[in-house]
Amino acid sequence: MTSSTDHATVPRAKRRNPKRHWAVRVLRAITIGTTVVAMAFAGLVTAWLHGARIPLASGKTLIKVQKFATANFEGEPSGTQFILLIGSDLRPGVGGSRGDALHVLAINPKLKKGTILNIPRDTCASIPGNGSGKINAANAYGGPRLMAATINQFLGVNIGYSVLLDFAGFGAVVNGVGGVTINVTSHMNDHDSGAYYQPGLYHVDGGGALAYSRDRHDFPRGDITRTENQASLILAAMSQLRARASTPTGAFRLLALLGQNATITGASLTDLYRLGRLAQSVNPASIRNYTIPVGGGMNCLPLLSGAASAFADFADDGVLEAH
Amino acid sequence: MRSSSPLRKFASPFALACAALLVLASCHGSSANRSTTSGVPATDAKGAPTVSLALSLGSRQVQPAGLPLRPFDAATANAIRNLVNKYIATGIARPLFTGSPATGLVGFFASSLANRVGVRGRDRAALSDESTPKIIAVTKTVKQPLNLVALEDHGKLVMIGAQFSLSVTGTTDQGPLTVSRVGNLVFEPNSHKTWFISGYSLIVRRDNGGTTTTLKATTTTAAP
Repeated sequence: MTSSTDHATVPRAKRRNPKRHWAVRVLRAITIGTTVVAMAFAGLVTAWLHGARIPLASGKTLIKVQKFATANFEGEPSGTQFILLIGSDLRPGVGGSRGDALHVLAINPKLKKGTILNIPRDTCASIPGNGSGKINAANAYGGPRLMAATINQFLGVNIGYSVLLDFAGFGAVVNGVGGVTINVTSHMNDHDSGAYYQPGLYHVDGGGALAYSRDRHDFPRGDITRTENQASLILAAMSQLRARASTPTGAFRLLALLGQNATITGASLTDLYRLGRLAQSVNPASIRNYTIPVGGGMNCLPLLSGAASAFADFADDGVLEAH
Repeated sequence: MRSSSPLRKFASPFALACAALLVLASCHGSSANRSTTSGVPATDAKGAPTVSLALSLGSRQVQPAGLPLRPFDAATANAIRNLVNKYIATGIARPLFTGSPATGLVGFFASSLANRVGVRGRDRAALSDESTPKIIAVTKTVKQPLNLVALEDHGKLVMIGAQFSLSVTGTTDQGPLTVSRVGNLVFEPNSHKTWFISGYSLIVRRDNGGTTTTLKATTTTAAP
């Protein structure tokens, strides 16, 4: 009995022509694949329409923003702010996390002036709890917190925020602001950094900016000129930021980018918005680029005469009136 | 009876996805346009214009600083719109149409801005029309819907910005007058999740047909 009903109970698919069955499977695979891609694209479009952005380098870059308890304001910052900018030499294949680029950015919103004070990495300094040595070692010993404490003691200032960037983080930030315009004043041809520039103006992306900021071999003053170039680059980026963050849309976009790529400690995005608004109140053209006076040395670079008075001039209101 | 060929059967999801894409694409660019009204003015029993200066909602956008992503909910957008419209009613419409002071204006702003927005505040003249001649008949209004952008921190809306554009033209006892405001407003919630205006960058132009005065108020600069 069962044998007589076999034909009727065989599933339809098994009765199909093998060639037709193969064609249907291919068609199904193509259609499903296309649909998945289309739906993924639709999801991206939806995210884009809602302003969402896909993190560009989350987890691959090192950007640390830290607000210290010593920050001398609550809510709306109004007095002079001192912000420590640390460029770390941490990068794939190379160990260490020293503060190889050290700058203290001072913003005085009342005078609408500021200073970016550059500290050569090999400057001699006392590092709290670690004796004396090259100032950049403080970052390796205790991260931005010890670096800030060292700078506070060294300059007599009160660092409210620190921003630590590694090479990738630096590149991400420059790309995030749409690149920066640099003014190359002398020939650069350095294989180590990848800086190959003739004198002139260039609009560069993160990679180009990084190469420019790392070159020290093309200058007689080596790291001193390099740190000045780094400060010029920071001021150029600030100009770019100022233009892009003039509306809430622009400011929020940059803060979102920061939030996606940075580790933020002790501060909210709202804090950073206020800090950014404060920094915006000063035209970068009114920010002095100043490198502290250091001499030559075997182990570290000692301060030259006049440094102490410059530090006092800097610490009182963030503006160098007499130097 | 329609045949259900494999091609038709499996192509339908693809068609649906394409249709979804088209719908999504058509949504983009639906940003609200300016609305302009002009014509015979209406007045209330006291003779004050009854023209509404209230703004409608325009686009909503989120800038997320991290996951999870959360959509810009309608309730928050409506809260912002209501706040802006209360500000307009108190700071602009009431003084402009009745000549009354903008009493209560400070209440729409974050407490940190009280000294700027208060009666003797440096930004009061830009934020309100207290010192402007009273309009007795409105002849034209130009209103741009509020286009909102929110900063989202791990699923929480922490700040909202809005483009602001409102212009009123009318006649006063002293002649024609146009008051135009353009700029941006920033909003933050307090601990009770009530939103306040926490920042602004506004330019106000007052043109009486012969003289134009321009004032700017911005919280970019630090409070004195």
